[in-house]
Formats: sequence, structure tokens, C-alpha cells
Amino acid sequence: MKNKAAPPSQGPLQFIDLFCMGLSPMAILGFVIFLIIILSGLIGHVSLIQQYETRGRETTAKILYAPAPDSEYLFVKYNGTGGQVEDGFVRTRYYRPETIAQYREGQFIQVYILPERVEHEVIPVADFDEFRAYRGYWQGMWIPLLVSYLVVIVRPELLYLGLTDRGGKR
Amino acid sequence: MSAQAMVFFLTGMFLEVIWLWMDAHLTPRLQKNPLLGLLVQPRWLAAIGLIGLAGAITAILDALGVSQRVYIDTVWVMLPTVALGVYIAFAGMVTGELLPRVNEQSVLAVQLILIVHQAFEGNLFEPLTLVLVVLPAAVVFYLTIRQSSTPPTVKALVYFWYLLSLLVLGFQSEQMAFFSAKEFTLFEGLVFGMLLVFLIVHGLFAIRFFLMISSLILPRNRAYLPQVMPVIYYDEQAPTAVFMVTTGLLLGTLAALRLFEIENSLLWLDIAVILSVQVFFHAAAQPGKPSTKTLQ
Repeated sequence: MKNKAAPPSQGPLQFIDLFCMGLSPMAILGFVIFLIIILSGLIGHVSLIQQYETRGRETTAKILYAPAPDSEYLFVKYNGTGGQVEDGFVRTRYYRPETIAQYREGQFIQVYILPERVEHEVIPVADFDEFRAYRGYWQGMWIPLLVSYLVVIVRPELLYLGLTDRGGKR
Repeated sequence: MSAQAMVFFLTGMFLEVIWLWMDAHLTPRLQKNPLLGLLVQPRWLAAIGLIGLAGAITAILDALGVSQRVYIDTVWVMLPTVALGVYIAFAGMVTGELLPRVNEQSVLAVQLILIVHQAFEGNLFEPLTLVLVVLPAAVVFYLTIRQSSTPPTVKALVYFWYLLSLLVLGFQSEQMAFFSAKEFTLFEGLVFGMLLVFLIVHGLFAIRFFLMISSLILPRNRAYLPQVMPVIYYDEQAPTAVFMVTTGLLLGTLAALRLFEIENSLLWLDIAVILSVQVFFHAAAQPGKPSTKTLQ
């Protein structure tokens, strides 16, 4: 008999290999897109931290409503740089739920503001370290990034397109 | 930005795409005289043609008294930008149409330029600079002076390292301010357009190379790399004297610009990097080290 049957352990491996080969074009595209999303999130967050650290001003804010469990914002009124009272908000996603839950309606807190920004986002001074440590831009992204990475490194042939078949050109 | 500056910005983007396309498709004619090699290049023709065209359009706009402000969503700006973006993304990831080619000298020159810049910024001894710029510069310096050819795997690592070090250039705080600036002079528009395409293509190549190097973990994937590296990372080098004089002049000029606090020193740094990679050592290359192909 000429054709030997593949060992039982090779069946799933061949299937995975074929699966990766089929998905490779999408995986390359996906990897680039997911990486760009994560990097832009990282760069945006680092840039925001730098802005608050270098140009942020400390002021007093009053919490307007008790924080709702699922709310994305905690609304406040704060003393602006010109002495006028302005509306602002705390973006809750940067902080742990228990940190947000400790705030009470009417409570006064110290916050950092960025006077030149159109968005009146404020960062509580006491929780600045939590804001700095935020890594939420990874959430929901790292698994597809990892899957697309694994698919591409199993079947990377497309990455070499146009680079290996240039025999006559150079 | 003004319509005139936008014309030069678009010109810079197209010019850089043409230069990268030339890197991929045109074999430089090796000249016995390196200076002649520097001057006789089709890329100068492309540059003169495109900048001349941009100058003519700008002169017409000025003559017509056009003082319109334009933005990225202005139709005549958006259409070519989107078309170019799609082409760059596709060409950068899965084709060899736009090829950021280097040799050891161009990599070393870029690393030295970045070292001088970081020294003036006071960031030379920061861990990120040491790992991304100083350490690879030492490695590439060793590779440059030794006479034997560099194995493809080492070339791949050096090339990946070089691509990462260019990110240092992109993330300078002044550069970030440049990227978010709303007003440009004509010259700034031109350089910004070139730099943007240069960094995007190198960024895409960094991702591509990261995946290629990762894939080497499987033995069956190791056959491709030796075929790719001679295309991207060529062995021909400019004569040592030419390299030293050119790099010395570049570094001296950049240092003088910083010492005398001339405005736009970052702009000149960007130009120095682009010219080092795409013009100076590419053009002056002479047959030197034995080809890597002999090692395969």
C-alpha cells in the first residue's frame, strides 16, 4: 500500500494548519487593526496623563448626583479658572467600581482640570493613580489580537508576498 | 492649514511614495564616483518635477488671491489622501511595492542621528533610548566595520530593531506637536507629508517584520527569511571615507542647529533621517561585502 494513513495525532494538526491557512489574510488585517486600536488607546491615554500632569490645575468640585452603578459619567460642578462655576464630569471607566461607589451626592472633592480642553473632564486628585493605571483599552481587544497573531505565525506566507519572488528585478 | 501648504503636504506624501516605490523597483547603478552616484538619481528628477508642479500650483493660487482654509475632509484633500492611505496599507503589509531598503551604513547613520538628538534632549541614558537606539548602534557599528557578510537572521533582527528605533523619532514630544499642528509653512508641509508616509510605511513594516520574526518559531517557516533579507537589507556599502564624511557632516550640522538654537531643528532631523535611508548611502553604495546569498 503506497499511501500510509496519517497518525491519529496528525489529523487535528492538519485541520488547525488548514484553518490557519484559510484565515491568514483576515488574521493579518485583524492583527494590524487590533494593534492600531490598542496603540491608539495607549497613546491617547498616555498623552492625557501627560496633559493633566503638566498643564492640569487643581480645583474644588461638587458631585451633583449619587453615582448610578452602570453610569459612564459622574457629573460635577467645579470652580473654573476664571472663577466661574462650570459643568464637568468624571469618566467612571478609569476607576474601580468601589472607588466610584464611595462618592456621595453633594460631596466636595479636589479634582484636576484642563482649562484649554473643550471636554470638561475632571480627574479626582485622590484617584489620579487609578486613572494613571487604567488599561481598559486592552479590554475586548487582546484575545482577537492574540488569536490573529497565532494564526499568522502558523501560516505567515502572505507576509512574504512581493518580497521573495523578485528574482529578475534586482 | 492654507490651501498652498496643503498642496505641499500632499506633494510630500506623493514624493515619499514615489521614492519608496523606486527603492522597490529600481536597482541603483553602482558608480565608481560616489558623488556622481549621489547626484545621478531618478529620485531627484521626481523631487524636482513634483516640487516644481506644487510651486506652480501655489503660484497660481497666490495669483488668484486664494486664501481658503482647507481641512482633511475637504474633497480635493480627502480623496487623494484616502486613496494613498489604502494603497500604502495594502502595499506595506502584503506586497513589496513600497520597500524601505537599508544597508548597515544607513541604519548606523540613522542610529547616530537619533543618538545626537536624544543627547541634546537629555534623554540619552533613559532605558528606552539605550535599548532602542544606543545598543543597536553599537551592534550595527560592529557589523559595519567587519568585512564578512551578516547572516540573514541577524539582519532581520537588526532591521526590526532599526524599525523600532524609528518609532523614537515619531514619538518625540515636539514631533507629536508637529503632527497636531494646524498651520504649516510650505516647507513644513512638504517635510511633514514625506515624514508621515515614511513613518507609516516603516510602522507597517515593523508590524510585518514582528510577525515574520515570530513565525520563525516554527522550523518550516525559516526557509523564507534568507530569500527576503537580501532584497530589504543589501550588502553594498559606500566607501568608508564617504560614509564618515557624510555622516560627520550630517551630525555636525544637526549639532550646530541645536547649539545655536535654530528654529525647526526637528524638521532638519527628519530630513536627515529620510535622506540617510533613501539617498546618501543608497546612492553611494559600492560592491563591498560578499553577498549574503553565498551564505544560504
